[in-house]
Amino acid sequence: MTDVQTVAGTSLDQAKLALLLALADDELVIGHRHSHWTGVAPQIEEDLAFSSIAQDEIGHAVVWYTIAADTASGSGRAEGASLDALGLGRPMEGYRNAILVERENRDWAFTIARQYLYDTADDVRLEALAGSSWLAVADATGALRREERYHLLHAHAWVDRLADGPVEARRKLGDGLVAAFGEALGLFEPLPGEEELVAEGILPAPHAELLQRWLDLVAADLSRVGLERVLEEGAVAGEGEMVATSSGEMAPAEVILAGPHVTRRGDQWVPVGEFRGRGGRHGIHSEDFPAVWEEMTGTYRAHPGARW
Amino acid sequence: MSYEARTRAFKARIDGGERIEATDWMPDEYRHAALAFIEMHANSEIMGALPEREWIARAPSLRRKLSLTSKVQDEVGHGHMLYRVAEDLGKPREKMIDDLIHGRTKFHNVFHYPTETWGDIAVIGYLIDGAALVTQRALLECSYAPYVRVLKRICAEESLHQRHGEDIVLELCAGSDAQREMFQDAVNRWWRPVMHFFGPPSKPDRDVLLHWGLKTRTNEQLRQQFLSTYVPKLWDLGIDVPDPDLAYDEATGEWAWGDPGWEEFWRVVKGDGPMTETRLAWRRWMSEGHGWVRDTLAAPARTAA
Repeated sequence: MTDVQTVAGTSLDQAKLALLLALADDELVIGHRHSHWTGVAPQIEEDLAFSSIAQDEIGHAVVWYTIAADTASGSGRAEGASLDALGLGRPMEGYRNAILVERENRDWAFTIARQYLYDTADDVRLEALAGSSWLAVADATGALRREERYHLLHAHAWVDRLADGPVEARRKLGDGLVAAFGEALGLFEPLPGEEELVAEGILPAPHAELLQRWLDLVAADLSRVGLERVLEEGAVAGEGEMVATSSGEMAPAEVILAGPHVTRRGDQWVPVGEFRGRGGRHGIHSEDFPAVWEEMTGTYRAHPGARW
Repeated sequence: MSYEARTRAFKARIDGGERIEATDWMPDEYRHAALAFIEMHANSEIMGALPEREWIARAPSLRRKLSLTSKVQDEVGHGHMLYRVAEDLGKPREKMIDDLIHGRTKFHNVFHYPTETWGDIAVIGYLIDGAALVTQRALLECSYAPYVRVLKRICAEESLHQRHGEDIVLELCAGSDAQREMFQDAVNRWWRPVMHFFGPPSKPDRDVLLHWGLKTRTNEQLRQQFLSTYVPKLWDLGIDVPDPDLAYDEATGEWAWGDPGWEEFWRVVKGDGPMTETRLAWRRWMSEGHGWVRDTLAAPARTAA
């Protein structure tokens, strides 16, 4: 297989690839996790909804992989085989998804909390990329955002409904959001080569700025449904839960991603401090990732060169 | 008019080719038979999602991962539509799902078996969806109109599934030796359950579903139709069908087939298949853990604080 990550190129080429893999791998892995609800969701209607969302997300991953493969080969439309090599053929540390998306589904409350936090973050990111100087990327955002609109409606409907009670539902949603919030910040971990991407207008705003935009949206939503405790508790819990140890021996302790905190300053919630260490954007994953990787890529890897 | 006279008149409507609507008067015997039949069909769509969903996560390519997710979603959607038809016959959906996961009602025999390789996905998509299509197309002649309306849509989607299954089969058979063996091995393991799919040959005059026009073909008629369609296709692909007695009799125009072990069939449909308890236990566990979600949806909505 051609490993696009080792294809020689300028540092800008490498940074562009890092951007696409972050986008694609987030979508693939969250789609993979969502698809685990197919057949077993708490309600048949939700079974159908999560299957749809999973298909959209995996489809979006294919869009980003296609641009990545075209860029790496320097030629026309990538075909299935090279997309599968990208999507299913990389070693564990080659995946650049944020840790949040690889976490187990746990229960319905965590699933909804994560879907909400992820899809709002994805929306902020896509909105920014709509203005990218890289036209292939800017063009792709239109179709993706049309589908993502339904994901946002789904997430908001559930957040509102669960926050509305009964007490148990509200408590579980709050706990799910607290558990997911710290790692959701990791969606905004700066990319390798980010400064160059920003300088070229490929990434129209640095991740630190996107993080603040997202935090404004989430803080407004949580305030509206009376769950601001998530921002207070989640920020603290976040740092503890940021511990990303095992992509096996690939992750020595000193490179683990941690921080920032969030705190209220006047009317606004703001991040405090920088990201320290490295996380998903550098191929450093949590203890939940080896099982995802094994399951998701095992059949593909067992039959090199086979067509399916 | 007495109950008996109304029942005779009802039966005459069916024998005359009329269709029954949910709002029509119907004898209890008809209502119970229709409900049990459609409920089992719905159960089977829901439980049928489980063996296939295991391979969504392990699909060998991105394209197959997407198409299998979509396909399994369709099956769950069929369950959704069928439960609504069944509900109109007088049993709430919650109760049907509760009965299913506690083993009080049945689901189709083929969904009690494990899916060991991607070859099993090929068999399910091609042979089992093929068998289901033979059965469901025949049910378009059913006497219960709401069921027929839903079946029209189901058959359209199942035709697509069957082509999806055929595509997977053709890719495996044209692939590496390992891929071809993967499919042959899956056919070997699944042939018996596939033969069981249509049920044992039954006595038409004692079949209550035939009596009420809920079914119009016998088990054996459907099995013969399936064999005529699929056995030549498997042979063309160079795949062995693991039944030494299987042969087409030109004189009678019928397939002869060997004993597929009916004791296994009876054991499985009574809820003692290789994966029955595992799958039901998991569904129960998922269901019990999410009672709070159902309670939330059932509670009257307040306005958010």
